[in-house]
Amino acid sequence: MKTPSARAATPQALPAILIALIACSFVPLITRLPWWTWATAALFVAWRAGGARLGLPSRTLRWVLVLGVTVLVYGRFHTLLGERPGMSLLVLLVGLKSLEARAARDSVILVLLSYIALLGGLLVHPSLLIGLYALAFLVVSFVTLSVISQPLGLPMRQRWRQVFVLLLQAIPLALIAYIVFPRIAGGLWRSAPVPIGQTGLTAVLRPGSLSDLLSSRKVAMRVMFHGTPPPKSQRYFRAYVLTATNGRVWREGPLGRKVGRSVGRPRRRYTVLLNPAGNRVLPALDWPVEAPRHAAIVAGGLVRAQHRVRHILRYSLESAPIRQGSLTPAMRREDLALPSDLDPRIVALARRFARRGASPVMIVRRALAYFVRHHFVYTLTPPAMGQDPVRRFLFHVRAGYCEDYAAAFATLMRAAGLPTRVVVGFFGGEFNPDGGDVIVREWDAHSWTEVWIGGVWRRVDPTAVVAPGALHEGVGALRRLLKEHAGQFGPYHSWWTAFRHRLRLWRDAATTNWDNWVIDYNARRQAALLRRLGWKDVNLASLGIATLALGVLIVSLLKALGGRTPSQKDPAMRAYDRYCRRLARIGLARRGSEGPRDYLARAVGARPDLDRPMTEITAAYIEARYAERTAALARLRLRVRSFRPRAHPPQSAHSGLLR
Amino acid sequence: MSFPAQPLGRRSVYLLPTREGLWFGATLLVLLLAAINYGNGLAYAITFLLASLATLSSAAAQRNLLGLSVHEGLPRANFVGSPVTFRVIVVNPSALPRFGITVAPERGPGLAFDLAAHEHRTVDIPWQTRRRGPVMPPRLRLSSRYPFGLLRAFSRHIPLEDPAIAYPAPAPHAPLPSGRPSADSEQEALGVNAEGGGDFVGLSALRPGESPRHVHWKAVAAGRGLMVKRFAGLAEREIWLTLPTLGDIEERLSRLCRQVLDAEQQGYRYGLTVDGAPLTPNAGPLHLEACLSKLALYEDAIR
Repeated sequence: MKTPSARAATPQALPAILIALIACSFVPLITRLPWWTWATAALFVAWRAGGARLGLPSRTLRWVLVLGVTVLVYGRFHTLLGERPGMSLLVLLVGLKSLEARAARDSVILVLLSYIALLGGLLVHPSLLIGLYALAFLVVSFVTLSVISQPLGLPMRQRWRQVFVLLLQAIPLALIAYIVFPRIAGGLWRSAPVPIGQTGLTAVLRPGSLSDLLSSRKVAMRVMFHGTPPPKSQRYFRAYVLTATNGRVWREGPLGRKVGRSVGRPRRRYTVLLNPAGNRVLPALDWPVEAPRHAAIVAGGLVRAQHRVRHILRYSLESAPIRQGSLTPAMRREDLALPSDLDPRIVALARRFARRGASPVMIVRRALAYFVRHHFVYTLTPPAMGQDPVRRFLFHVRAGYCEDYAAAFATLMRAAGLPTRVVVGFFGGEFNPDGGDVIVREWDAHSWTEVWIGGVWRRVDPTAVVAPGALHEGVGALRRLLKEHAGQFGPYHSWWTAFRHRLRLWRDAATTNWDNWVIDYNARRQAALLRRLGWKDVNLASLGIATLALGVLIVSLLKALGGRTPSQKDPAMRAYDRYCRRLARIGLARRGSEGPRDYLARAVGARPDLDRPMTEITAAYIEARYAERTAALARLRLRVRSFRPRAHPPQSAHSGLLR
Repeated sequence: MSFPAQPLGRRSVYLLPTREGLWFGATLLVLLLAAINYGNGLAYAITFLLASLATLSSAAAQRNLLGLSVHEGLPRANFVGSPVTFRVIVVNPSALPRFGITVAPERGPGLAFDLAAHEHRTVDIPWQTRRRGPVMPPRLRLSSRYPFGLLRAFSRHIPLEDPAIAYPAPAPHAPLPSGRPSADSEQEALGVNAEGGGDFVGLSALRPGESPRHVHWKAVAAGRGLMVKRFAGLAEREIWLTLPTLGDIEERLSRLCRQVLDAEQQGYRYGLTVDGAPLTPNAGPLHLEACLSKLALYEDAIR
């Protein structure tokens, strides 16, 4: 008889699964915390592992160490608050705790600390992958708890099974709580959440600034169109308008006051799930009609959020194809400004386009025709453009990426006397049939121009003219293929490529749902969902009450139903019960106190035609149950299976009901 | 003797969080606060999943005790100052193995064990004695922290009925009264019956209740069965033990207790008169137990 209640005084080895669990809880944090945190924590664990020989630290020394790591963290970060110092301290304290863990109690505390560490990892990047990781982590943690509380006597396989079964039961419960638990907008105390990453789009356009993004599959945003999405060639999402240039770089310049009105048909309504980029830019299709909440339409017809976007953001917009407005003389000057040292050959070329008083449309056509006639090439790996990129591009290299085309075209138009500006944003994106949304990735970053023609800004995309295939037939796929097959264009080469592409689409659909239901599940979406489920007036109090009621209900249900022991019925009795039920169905229910023989006598009296099968069954039952003969049990089962009495005896005496 | 054991039903099994369970709850609160503050859906999901897992584990915790029954065994007596033991038999009538079942008296440590399917286990619970006389059994609880140590399932109090007996502590030394043979040393010199006293007259079959000390082992070894050495003059070796008249009652009982033990050890047939119902001279463990019980319950008999 062992006595686990008497706690062991000597430190025993920590269960291996506990050590693994702690290590797993740190994995999402590995790159977030400085190396010295890990080194120090590893030192403590190593001390623990070699503890038998070295001797473990005394109580006083442990407190000194606690003080020591606190000073270390403070010295390095100059604060203890905040995410990184806090998590560093936690990791170090877990290491220290492992030094002193002696009893089961300490092991449980280590498990609980590992939950906090996991939370730290979740808050940094709550992706679908991390979600699955956390789920697996919870399973392992409960197996660990099982090992801690019941170290012996239970095989590991049984523990895993037990936890999996429990998980299957817990998921629906947690789901209800997840849906119903009131969401409080804005958090409890002010905190500085972490910007999650910078998108590649910048307010500066220089050669190479967009082609750098080619290799980034990162999803910039997901767009869900209400109704059918516009064709790919019409999906231009504007993010920045650049008006100032020095010949090499385009930057944001003065855009004047916000004027104008978005008009025209067709209008597109859509919802964007924007991954945080740490800035205020909300990319919008063409010309937004009205700004979403907490955002404004600024000059240039761009949408800007009130605050920097640090979490995934959802906004709905309506866009029109045309923006009506006016161009003030001052603005016109800005949109015609060119660097003073502009190469004369560019000016000469532009004059040729504008000769004999050509209309603006004519000028644009001639310029685009120039690109085509001189076999300009669209390439994803443009060569270096040097000090005067526009001249080099137009007259020497004649190959480039969208930023080269946009810059050169804008320069030409300005030189030809048309107010022109460069727009940076996203183009196209990939329609995902699984999710019904358009996935816009960083490699969809694009730049094009807008030319002031006939009182409106008209979009002109020189790249589309040069490489219509590249832009219109799946830039993403093309770019990916380009990367993978070193320049080979063409459809999917094998089912494997197609399959992998399909797989990615599934993953993207999953990510979209994840973003919708996990990352962006806030009070508003909660109310919308519950309304759809039929709960009309959702508010914080009613949600709170619902959550409480749910909790009480579950606990009481558990109390009532939870502790059922599996039925201990003997197989013979089960088969016999089945026989009794069948007899009861024809009006011959067994009475409570009736023994099998009495029952048989009564039944035969009522239904002499069933005499033989009933006698056989009863005899087999008695033999199987009381003499425990397996042969009798098999016979009993067989007979019971084929025992199908009819409600009324058949007319002819010997028409056997049974085979 | 023992009362009919009732299997533990749903109404007699309770659940409370353990200390670890409370810490677990506190951790959940931290997770929840973080989830609310950061508006992090994944943190919410993890929190609720953890809470659900812990809550649902209560079913397994409860099931671990349900259906067990506790049968009462015979308690074992002891002298004051040493623990008596109460014996229970915990029966698992089901096919469900049980883990970490702890049987614990109201106060004091418990004993933990696992029970396989259809297994039963005898548990002796030591119980410290301070006073002579009957020792009322403690009420017991079955409890377990299975499966995760976050919840403790425990049964209602299980009362035991049979008291144990605490004999008076034997005095260190108390001479036996007269009737003691003067020729003791001669007998020992003969070497045949150093303890029994009297002359050796022959062998006869062992009767129930007789001291095994007189078994003739050589006869046993020779395959003649359990034979006992018989001595002549045993009638003279009968003594009557009585309560001394003077002194503190507990002290007197202690002395008497010592005498009873010595008389038994030295092979006397001894009788005991402490109250109105004397025990006629006899020997053997049953007689010894009867005498000691009489001493243990002495005061109660007077009342």
